[in-house]
Amino acid sequence: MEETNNLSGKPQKEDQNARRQFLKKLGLVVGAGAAVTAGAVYMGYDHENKKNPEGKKIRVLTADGQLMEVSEAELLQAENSVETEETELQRRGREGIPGKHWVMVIDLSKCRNARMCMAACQGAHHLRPEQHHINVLRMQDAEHTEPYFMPKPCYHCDNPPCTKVCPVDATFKRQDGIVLIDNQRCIGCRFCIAACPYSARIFHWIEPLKSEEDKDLPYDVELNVPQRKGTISKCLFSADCLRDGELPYCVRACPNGVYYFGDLNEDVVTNGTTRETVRFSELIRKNGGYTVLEELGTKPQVYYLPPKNRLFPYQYEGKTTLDPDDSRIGGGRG
Amino acid sequence: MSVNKLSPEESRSVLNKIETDLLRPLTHHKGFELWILFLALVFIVGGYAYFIQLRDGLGVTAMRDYTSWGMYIGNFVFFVATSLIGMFISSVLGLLKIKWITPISRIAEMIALAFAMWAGIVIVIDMGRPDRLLNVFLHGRFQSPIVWDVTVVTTYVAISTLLLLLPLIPDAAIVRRRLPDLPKWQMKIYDLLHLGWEARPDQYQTIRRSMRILAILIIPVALSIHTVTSWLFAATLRAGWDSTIFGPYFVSGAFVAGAAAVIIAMYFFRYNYKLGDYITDFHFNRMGQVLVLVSAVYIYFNLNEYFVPAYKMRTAEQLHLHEMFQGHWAFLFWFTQIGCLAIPTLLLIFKRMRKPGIMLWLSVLVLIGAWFKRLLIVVPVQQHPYLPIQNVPESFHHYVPTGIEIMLTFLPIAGVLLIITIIAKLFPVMPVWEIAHEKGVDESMIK
Amino acid sequence: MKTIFQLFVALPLLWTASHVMGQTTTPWQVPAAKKTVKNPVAASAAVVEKGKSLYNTHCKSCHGDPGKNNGLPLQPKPTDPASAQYQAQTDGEMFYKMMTGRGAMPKFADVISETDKWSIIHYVRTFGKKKSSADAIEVEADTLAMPASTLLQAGVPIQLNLHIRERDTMLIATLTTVGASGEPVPAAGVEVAFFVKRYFGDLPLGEGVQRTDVNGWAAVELPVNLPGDTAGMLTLIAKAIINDGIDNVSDTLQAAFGKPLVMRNITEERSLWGRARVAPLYIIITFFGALLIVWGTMGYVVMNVLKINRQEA
Repeated sequence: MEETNNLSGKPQKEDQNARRQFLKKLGLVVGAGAAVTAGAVYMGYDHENKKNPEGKKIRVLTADGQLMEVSEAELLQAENSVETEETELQRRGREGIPGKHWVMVIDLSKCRNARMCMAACQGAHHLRPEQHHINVLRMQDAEHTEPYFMPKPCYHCDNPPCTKVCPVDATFKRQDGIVLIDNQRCIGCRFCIAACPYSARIFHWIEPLKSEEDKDLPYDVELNVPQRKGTISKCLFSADCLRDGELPYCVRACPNGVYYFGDLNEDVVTNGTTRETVRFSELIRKNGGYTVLEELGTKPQVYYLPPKNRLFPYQYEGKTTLDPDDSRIGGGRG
Repeated sequence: MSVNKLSPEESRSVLNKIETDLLRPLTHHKGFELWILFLALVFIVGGYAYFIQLRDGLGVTAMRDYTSWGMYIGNFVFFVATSLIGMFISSVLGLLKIKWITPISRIAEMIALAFAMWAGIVIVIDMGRPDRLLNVFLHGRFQSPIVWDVTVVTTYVAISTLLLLLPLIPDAAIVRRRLPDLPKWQMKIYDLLHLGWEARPDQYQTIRRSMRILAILIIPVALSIHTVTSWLFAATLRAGWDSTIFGPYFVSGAFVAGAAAVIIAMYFFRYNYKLGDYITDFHFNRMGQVLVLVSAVYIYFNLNEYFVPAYKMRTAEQLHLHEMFQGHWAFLFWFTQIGCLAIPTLLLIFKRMRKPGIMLWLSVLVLIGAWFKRLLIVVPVQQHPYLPIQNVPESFHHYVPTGIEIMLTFLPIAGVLLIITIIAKLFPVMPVWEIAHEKGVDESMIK
Repeated sequence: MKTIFQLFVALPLLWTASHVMGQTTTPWQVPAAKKTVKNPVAASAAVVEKGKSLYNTHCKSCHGDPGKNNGLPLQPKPTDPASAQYQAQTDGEMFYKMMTGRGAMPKFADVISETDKWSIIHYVRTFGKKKSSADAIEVEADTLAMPASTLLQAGVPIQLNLHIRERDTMLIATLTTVGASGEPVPAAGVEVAFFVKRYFGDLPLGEGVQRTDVNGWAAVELPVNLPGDTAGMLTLIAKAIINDGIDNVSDTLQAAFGKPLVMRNITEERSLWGRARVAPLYIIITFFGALLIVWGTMGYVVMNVLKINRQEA
């Protein structure tokens, strides 16, 4: 454009005006330069984003374990379908299930540290043994009180301190109350870890357990698989299961009837072990249900029934008292 | 103004001396290449460390799920803190019409700009996904203190740059006139920057007015960068960070670190750049007094920050405070509080101690203490969450920085030094025109 | 996909289970004095019913449904109460084991009262050889005018109809069957369970299982304050349990007896924790206001300074 103008128009004066012109334009140039740089970086970013979900595949592994050659056209189609699938998973994952308000009740009197919830959870979400979306803690409220086991998932707070601080909407609360993490958005600043008073969040410090096997899977924000290095992961209340009318992985895995899970809007919770369905309000009222550290104002959506009338006396690694090492605690419930 | 005007002849000779003294480092630079080489070496080592971190993930650091913010965030807080001094010296003291800051104002601004710029880079080093940095702008949540922090740090860098550049306009004209034999690219910079400076009264007026506007503008911005930085902690529910005085506590601490950094830089420029006539014992005396003042305020905030919770010993804070006072962190804690804050402050109360040599070492101590203090604010709190840390490897309970983290701490420090080196190499470290003006040189000659 | 997941889940589960729980498979010795203890609670339909409910609450999670061998795959495996091995025990042995527990089997000493434990024993005995003993017959003869099982043996269909009696908000199931000459007759003595449909499982209504009376009626009170859908509709279900659950018949009914659900999408409300687009207005205004003022001033300064080379007019 400018060249054409110069060719057709009159030549500009170049002597004493030149510098002034130059200086005048300096601001514009700097501004334009910044804009162009930003644009270029963004385009690079966008491109990166677009090519990210799928690398070039030459051989494809079929379901029965056969290697197959796939033509490029098919391949491209497959890529597109993965992308659309992924967008769809993102869309519904961010939206949540209308009219639901998930709630969990954990009966501490039944927990005996079987840790099947932890194993099931780590299996479903492809986590390493030291990574816990749900963690069974050994707790003691005061010096002379009896220790007990306390499974601790994410509490999916109604006033979540973690989503408050997220700079990029990577962790968010859906309309059904689940606090999710989008690891395609997460920048890995770990502010949410710092903000969560319940230590419910983990970070992929190194390559996730199955990142190699999972790398071609479409990202399901409701399962947070494939997990990604440098991003956060957390308990998702097994949002993928809930969509299919199934109870969460941990709830189903418990052999001792510890977990109840349900919809507050239906006022019922279902026990994952016995499949017994009971009124939530009644269960909480009759058993003295409470939430952890409710004085922080986080409004947790996981309720506990106190560890009374226990089936099993507390025992951990042969000891019936809390290990002094475990007393690195901030003081149990208070 | 109480400046006694000099006659044109006197003016000429005084200006000539000032120009000669202040512009000498631009052409005489013993050991400059060696220094740059050293910084480059630190950059290469740091760059390699960062490459490893990018390749293997943040797992190469000692940070884990519980102590998930470590030295990098400590560095960030330290860098932001140190950068605040630019605002304090050239704005607060400047607007109060305090004269003795003229020769150190540019030093303070260089420190401010260098630390603020690198603070932004330090925070990227801490990110798990630096490739997604743009998400902060594309998907920014205005509710997040990080977005506020990014905004105010960027703004502060911009204003600091302007505050550094504006007084450089007359100086660029001077350099252009005095040193026409400098390399072409360098001359181009002065050419661009002097903006047709002719020492006209209206030009003086524009520059002075603009500088005053920026000096006022930078005060709230500077206060907010460190206040927002403190909110990264205070906005959480963690016992130990959950404090209402974190903003002023951080800001007062920032001035301590910054004042110490300025004293160190003053010492260096005085002796290395042979500027003893300009940065005198009087200036050190004054800066010593400033350091005492800001340290006293900081000590007062420390008392509030530690004594009040310790008096109550709330369950949640108990373990944290015990670890600080007599446990794992006790040595570092008392070293920073007593050795690097209380003792230097007490010593500097005595005029005898406010001499360049002693002040240099005390300032180094204060600055090191300031850095450790940031680590002590960031790390230990995370090791005592409300709920116990269990079923994780032993390494999750502790935090001992790895070699990578140390290398990536030296990288931004070298970066800061590099920026200061470059600025001090390209431009006089003091505003020539302002000093000349204070000595009574005829203003219209300063071009 | 799902199966693979389940496999992933199941394998570590089994492994953990066997390590955490399985300690020993040596025979469980019961002191001779305890073996011979007799069941002090007299058997009755009510007792068996109660035992069944207790069993379902406390035992079923590991031991499974008696006779179906569907207990948890623990190591050692929890014995199926209907198995011969289990039924070979004396009542005293069963009682002792419930009292003391071992390995994965909890100690129920303080959890279930003694009477309740004996009731559970009565219930599990109904699956053993003793089922046809005098006791059991006595139980049935005691309460049932016309046992449902006889009807079914004849292969006659049973029909279940649900309706609500508005007067006292009772949910009533009417069971009819076909008489000898083809005329509809009430089916009495049939177990009927009532539920409200919920997302993960149906919420049982009333205490335990009801039996139809001579009119073929079973009734349960409608739940109070149970949330329905947005219109307050509840899906009510009645299930007649016939032939141990093999030939169940059921009926469902939609009724606006629930508390209407107020749909509220909290993510659309302005909040500090919400997404960027629902940021509180004061934050947006402050943020952009401050940004505008500061950068505007800076822009103004820069414009001014860039003009300093201009000669005064």
